[in-house]
Amino acid sequence: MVRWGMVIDLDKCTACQACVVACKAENNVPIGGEEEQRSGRQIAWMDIVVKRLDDGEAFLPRPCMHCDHPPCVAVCPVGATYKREDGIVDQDYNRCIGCRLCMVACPYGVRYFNWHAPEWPETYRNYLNPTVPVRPAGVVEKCTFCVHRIERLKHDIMLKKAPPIVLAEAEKSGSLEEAVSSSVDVLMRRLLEKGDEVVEAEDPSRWEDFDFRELNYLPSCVRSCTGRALIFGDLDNPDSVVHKLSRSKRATRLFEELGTEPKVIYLKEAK
Amino acid sequence: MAETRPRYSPTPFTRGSAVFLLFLLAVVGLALYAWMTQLREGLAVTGLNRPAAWGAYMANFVFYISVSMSGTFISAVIRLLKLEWGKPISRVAEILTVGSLLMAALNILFDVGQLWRALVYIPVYGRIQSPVGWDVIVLLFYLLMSLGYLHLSVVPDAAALSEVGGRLSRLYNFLRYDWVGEDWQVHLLENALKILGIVTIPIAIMMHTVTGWIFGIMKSVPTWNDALMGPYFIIGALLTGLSLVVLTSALVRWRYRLKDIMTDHSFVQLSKLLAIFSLAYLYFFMAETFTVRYAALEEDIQVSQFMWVGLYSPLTWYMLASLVIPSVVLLIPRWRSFKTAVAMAAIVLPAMWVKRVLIVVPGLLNQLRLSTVQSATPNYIPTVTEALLTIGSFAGLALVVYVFTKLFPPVPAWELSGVRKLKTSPPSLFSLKSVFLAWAVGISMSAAFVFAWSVSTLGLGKDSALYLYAVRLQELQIFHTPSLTNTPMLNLLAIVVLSGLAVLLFRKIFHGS
Repeated sequence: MVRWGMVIDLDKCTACQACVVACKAENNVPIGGEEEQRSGRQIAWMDIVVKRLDDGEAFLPRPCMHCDHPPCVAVCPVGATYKREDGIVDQDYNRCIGCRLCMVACPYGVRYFNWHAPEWPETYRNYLNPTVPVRPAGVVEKCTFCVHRIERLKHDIMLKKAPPIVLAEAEKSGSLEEAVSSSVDVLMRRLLEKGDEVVEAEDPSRWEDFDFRELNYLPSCVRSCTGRALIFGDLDNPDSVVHKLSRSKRATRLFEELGTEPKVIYLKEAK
Repeated sequence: MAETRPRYSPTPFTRGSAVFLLFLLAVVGLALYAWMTQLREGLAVTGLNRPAAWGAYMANFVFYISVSMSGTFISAVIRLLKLEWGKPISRVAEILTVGSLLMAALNILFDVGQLWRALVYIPVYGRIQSPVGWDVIVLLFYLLMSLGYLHLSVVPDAAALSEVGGRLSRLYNFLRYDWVGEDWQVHLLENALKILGIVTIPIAIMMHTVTGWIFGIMKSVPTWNDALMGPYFIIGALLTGLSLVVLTSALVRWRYRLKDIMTDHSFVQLSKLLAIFSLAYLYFFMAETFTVRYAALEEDIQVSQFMWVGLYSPLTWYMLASLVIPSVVLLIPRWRSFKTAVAMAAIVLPAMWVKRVLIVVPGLLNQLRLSTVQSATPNYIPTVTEALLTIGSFAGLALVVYVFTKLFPPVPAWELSGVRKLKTSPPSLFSLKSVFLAWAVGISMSAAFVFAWSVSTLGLGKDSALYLYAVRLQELQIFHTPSLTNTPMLNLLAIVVLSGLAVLLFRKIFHGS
């Protein structure tokens, strides 16, 4: 069984907010502005959160934790939010009645309400992502681990339209689930290795055969992270990068005492 | 004893009444306009924001729920304990319950982002696992019980009014059923009201407990996650409800000149209850504050600081003073009178509304739970829209009470001045017995319905299998319309049909041939 999770290495995070912008662009989140910031109505599925510590501040990139025991799912009166079989806590925008019980129940504050209809500058409207629905006023929305990208990966593997590196991996695995799990891991490794290589490469011919679109199966924030601090994958797959990093001594999770079993794992900054 | 009391006679509809009615309608109209604006613009017109996702509407909802405790619950207790002094205020209490439950439901509808979806989806997709599910169910039952109780207790008065004649005699004739004031009818009615009263008491207690649990189960919000919440809400509800009953009764007594019927003695007795409840509430308040201040988690302390010395501290101190004053004043026997009872109720009532705000908002505004860049100083300031809707719902409650007291006696006249034998023969469209049976069967059938639904959704796996199937369909992005086949309601229907068949089979076997 796939169990999607994310590891966030705080040693590598530079708080550059590339993930925040990439998420907004990918998921049709309204850009917002100073007014929204001040009134506490800014929507940012992926957000950089300032955590006050005894000595200074820590910056946490904070997506939805996709808890194994999500308090938001338990309290939803109409089943608009639900946990998928692969562990992603998804939101059905057409079912949501906007009662905001989930916002109150969520200890991580990752659920966002559309106080008014979303607004974009006119020039921007042409660049909205057609694969993600635009939410109306009065519903709650949240990070979905870019579930549409994962679904497209499944779709492309089934139709053999995926890039060769993914199809080669899919050949080896027995089921679709395994195929998706291992191909995401392969893409993740490629992002971690090749991505750095690309940045460092002086000779353009070294990355001529490299298809950047392959990496677009990964969540938008992970894909765009400049420090390679965000690592996505199947926590239950023992060969995956995420699984290995989640066993690190630095690994910790937010508010573990609440028993929500979050699937976003932070690697603490080394002293 | 009953004969010594003066009779109640209906008051005419004067110009003053018309002006008051128009004023109430104007306020309600203004609130409706504000609601329309909110529906058009979204909840952006309110002061709500991300840490403070709930605000004035939720506080109003809890307040109205607690007001509803006053009525049918107190009325049923008065009836079951045969408290003579309580009878004059029981009618006011019952109508306050009905009105405040309606306003509570309305305030929840103000609060949701998608009004039409809330109205359709909660019945169709409602989940019994959600606190909203519990609250909607209990609220509907409490409303049904209160309506039934009020309906039945009004029958003899409607019969008396139908003999007076006038423009509304058709209405009174319909509502008197086959009432002629025979002894067996009085006996039947009193027993019926007792039965409804006995059933109402646990429902009323659950109503307030469940409302407390909406907050009590939120483990992420400091100071909410508290086992005390249910009992705390019940005591708060008794106090709030009682003070509104005292105030409304005083108004009714002044407006309808009922000084001889609603005696000072009744108010003195009520003021004793008021003293007991406010002392009990102070005790709960102290218990809550003490444990938090002495030994609590960091975030609990933070909320407490916010309440006692922070932005909301004037409200807290005001609330505390308004609870201490009545507790002290009403403890002194010499000071207990009609006037002090009304004055103390007038002090308690607004303080209890403020307390609702203090329950809802400070917990949400705490800084410790991942304060973000965007909301560096969490804050909540209500806007004009929220104020208009709040005032409008109070006007709505007043409207319900006022129209009712204009149509029917604001006191149970038949209980106070004895039952009269009526001269005219009733139209007897329905009999009183069948009306009572209709209420009893209707309420127990719907209780069975809800019970079967809950058991089936909880029993058949995590969610019901069909529900999961519906979710699956949505994962696959297959559009579907709400229908019985993909909701928990199908399970419900199946169980109701099966139990019906079982009953038939049972009768066939044991009573057959």
